[in-house]
Amino acid sequence: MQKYVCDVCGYVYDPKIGDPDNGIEAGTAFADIPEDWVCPECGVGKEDFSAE
Amino acid sequence: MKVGIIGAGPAGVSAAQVIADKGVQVTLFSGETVLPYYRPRLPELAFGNEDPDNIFMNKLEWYAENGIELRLDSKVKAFNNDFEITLEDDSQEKFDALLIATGGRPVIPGFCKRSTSKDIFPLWNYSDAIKIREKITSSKRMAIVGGGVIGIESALRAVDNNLRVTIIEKMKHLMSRNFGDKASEIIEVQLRDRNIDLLLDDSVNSIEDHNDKTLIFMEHEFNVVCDFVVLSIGAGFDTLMAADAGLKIDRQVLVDEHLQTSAPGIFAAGDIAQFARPAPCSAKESLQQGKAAGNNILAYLNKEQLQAYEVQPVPMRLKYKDFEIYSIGKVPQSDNEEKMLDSEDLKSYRGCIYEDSALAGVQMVGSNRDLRKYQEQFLLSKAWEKIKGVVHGKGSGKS
Repeated sequence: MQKYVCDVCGYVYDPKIGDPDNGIEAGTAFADIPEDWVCPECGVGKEDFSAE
Repeated sequence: MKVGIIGAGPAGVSAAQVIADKGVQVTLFSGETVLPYYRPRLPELAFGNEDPDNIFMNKLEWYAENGIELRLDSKVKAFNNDFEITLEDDSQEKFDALLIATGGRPVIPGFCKRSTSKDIFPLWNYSDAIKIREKITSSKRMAIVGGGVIGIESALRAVDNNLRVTIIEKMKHLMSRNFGDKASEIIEVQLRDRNIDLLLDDSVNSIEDHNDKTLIFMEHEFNVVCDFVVLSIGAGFDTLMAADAGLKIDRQVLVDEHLQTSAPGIFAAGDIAQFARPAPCSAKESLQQGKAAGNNILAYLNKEQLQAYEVQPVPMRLKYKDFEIYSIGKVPQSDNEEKMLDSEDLKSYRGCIYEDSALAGVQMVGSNRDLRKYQEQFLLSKAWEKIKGVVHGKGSGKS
């Protein structure tokens, strides 16, 4: 599954790991993450992420 | 109608986007020679393996395609209440409204200004990061002056790049503005465990090059010998240009709840903007203020109602591999109560700060279990309302 990088701070969303601390289970594709999710590092929204 | 934006960081670029989107001409002036970029990526660029082309906000074509006239290498020297901008070459351009989005500048202490060393590097902009990146290739030891979040991130990345690193901090603890003593002690243990030397509670007297090394002469302790020094002491603000234009300033350029300065039609957003009292800013906050200022500039030009803007809480956070720290709100002080949730050996710390029974701060080191729950509680708390009130000048508060 495709990883996504936060343009602002460089945080990498890896679908294999998800973001469990913020309710995103491992195995969740980026497109399937709710739209109100924000980068756990710097707080910007999904629109500021790019495919790695 | 034409809008002039001074400064091409996140605030300037997001304002430009909002304005150009509505078909209004906008010129974005940058004092740098590279495309606008995200500053949080700089430590990665300086100390890690980041591709130098990867940190730009948008490709060059994007600006023209989106109706934004981007002017690189165009530092603005002055502006006035008639929306006239003067560049370094003394050429002048006139607009119908202005946005000041010039951000901050690095703190360069006296001992650096007085030093003749060629190996002291601030880590403020793209050019700094590239210089450091090149210097690393011929270096083994680096000293970082300033133990805040940038210093710590830089140290962690540098160690992974096989440098020996010493962080020099003048306060008794690292990150003392964002963490109490208990939490900072754990941060310090975690850094030492990762082979980072810490020299705390001591000040730098002077820095000198000697043969091919750089010597840092300390006030109390032994001197530090290294190949180069990075400064990460904090941010200051250049308000001279705004003051010369007659704008009201304090630590930064003063704005009202519409992000408008004391001069009608001149707005400010991002690090350079101050409501009633200074408040922390971040890339995200700058993006949001830029958007709001952009919308208010459009409203101003159309003689419509301006919208009020309210700051969001800005946490201090860093996650690098398995090192993570988070702080929001107040830190332990004499007038509040620290309730430690748990602390595992010296590996982790989670604590909450209460002021009159309201959640006023949260700090976590090495763990962020239940962070979301505490963040939500903090956002709804009376303590955050009070902090917001002080920032926006609505409540009485300690200065």
